[in-house]
Amino acid sequence: MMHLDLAALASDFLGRFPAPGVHPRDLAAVLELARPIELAHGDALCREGERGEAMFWLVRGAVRVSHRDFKGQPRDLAVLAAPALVGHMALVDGSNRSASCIADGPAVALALDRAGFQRLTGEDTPRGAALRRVVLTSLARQLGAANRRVRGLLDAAVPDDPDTAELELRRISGTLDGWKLDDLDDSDVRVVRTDDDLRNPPRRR
Amino acid sequence: MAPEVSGTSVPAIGEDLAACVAGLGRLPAFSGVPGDHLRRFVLAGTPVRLQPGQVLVRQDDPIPRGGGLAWLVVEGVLQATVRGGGDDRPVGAVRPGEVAGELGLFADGGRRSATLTAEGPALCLRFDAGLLEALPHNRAVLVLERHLMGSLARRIRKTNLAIQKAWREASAGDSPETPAPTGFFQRLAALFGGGR
Repeated sequence: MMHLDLAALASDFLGRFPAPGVHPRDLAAVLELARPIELAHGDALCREGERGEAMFWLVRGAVRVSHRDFKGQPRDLAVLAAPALVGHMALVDGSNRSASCIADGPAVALALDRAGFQRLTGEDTPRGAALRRVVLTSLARQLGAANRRVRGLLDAAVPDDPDTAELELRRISGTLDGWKLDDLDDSDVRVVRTDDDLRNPPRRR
Repeated sequence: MAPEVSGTSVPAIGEDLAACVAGLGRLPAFSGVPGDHLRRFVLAGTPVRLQPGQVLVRQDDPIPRGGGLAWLVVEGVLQATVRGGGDDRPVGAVRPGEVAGELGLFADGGRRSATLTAEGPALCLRFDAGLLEALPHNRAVLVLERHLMGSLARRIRKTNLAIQKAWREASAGDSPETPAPTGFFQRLAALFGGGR
């Protein structure tokens, strides 16, 4: 059984993703209810298209995020490094997984299942409020970052060609799904294949 | 609470506080909330009464660092519009029980993405993230937070679908039924406003 310092993990997480009025002690109480999962390189944390049965705190290591684009082609979106919140959208709105997350080296995640999520988000307790506000903050950052990216794109002198459009679509879509946020630095989220895409842009069908 | 409302609004008076409590109590989402929780919730915010056509917040207005304001609509309807191609394009209505400007609550600076205008007479409860912190065991706050989670998730899905639809339409070329706009960025501008 691995040892995880939940108080330290909660502090670390809130340092990176500040949520209003959330004390690390209360987030640690949420993490106590989550199940630790050890992943070997190549193990799947979640798979695109599946019904989401849990949300995850990635607490060690990294996962490679990939999905099929709207043409059905598999695409790597990013490598997400701990600490990160993964898969919460599916529990909030009941949607299926928008991407697959595969361990990029050994990794550890804490999984909070759907029943636990529903119970906690309905609780009038400090830990219930902690979970709601962490999820709210993450969702707001996803949407805010995507809005900024769209507005920046529209204000910039980018040529209106299909290759640029597709690349930007993937970036914005990934941002909306929470895989890439503008205000995280490269040590948190490493964009995959972008340079390759620019050198060999996908062709218009 | 820092003022962030464009234009003039009628100052809050006791009547508006009472109208907010009564109005929220009639909304299905808040109907199970005890009356004393609703009263404390309303007292922690600021009722804002709007006249028809009054602008609550304008697109590109700055959001203060550390988070801005949001508005819980109690009565009436707010219309959200974005500028695009020289016009104000409606992008959605905010109805009683829904929250306008919620992204500003959790933003650390930035700008408003849309203009919010009262369609007719409207009553809103203005609040910031401090309200969530100030009332830790209030059922109305719990209802509000759960509602916000759902509405943000819906907006994310809707925005993602709209962007992908814009790309597909641009990629497929314009059909005779939809002759304009032509490119992906023009279609994005129609959705989000902006200079293209």
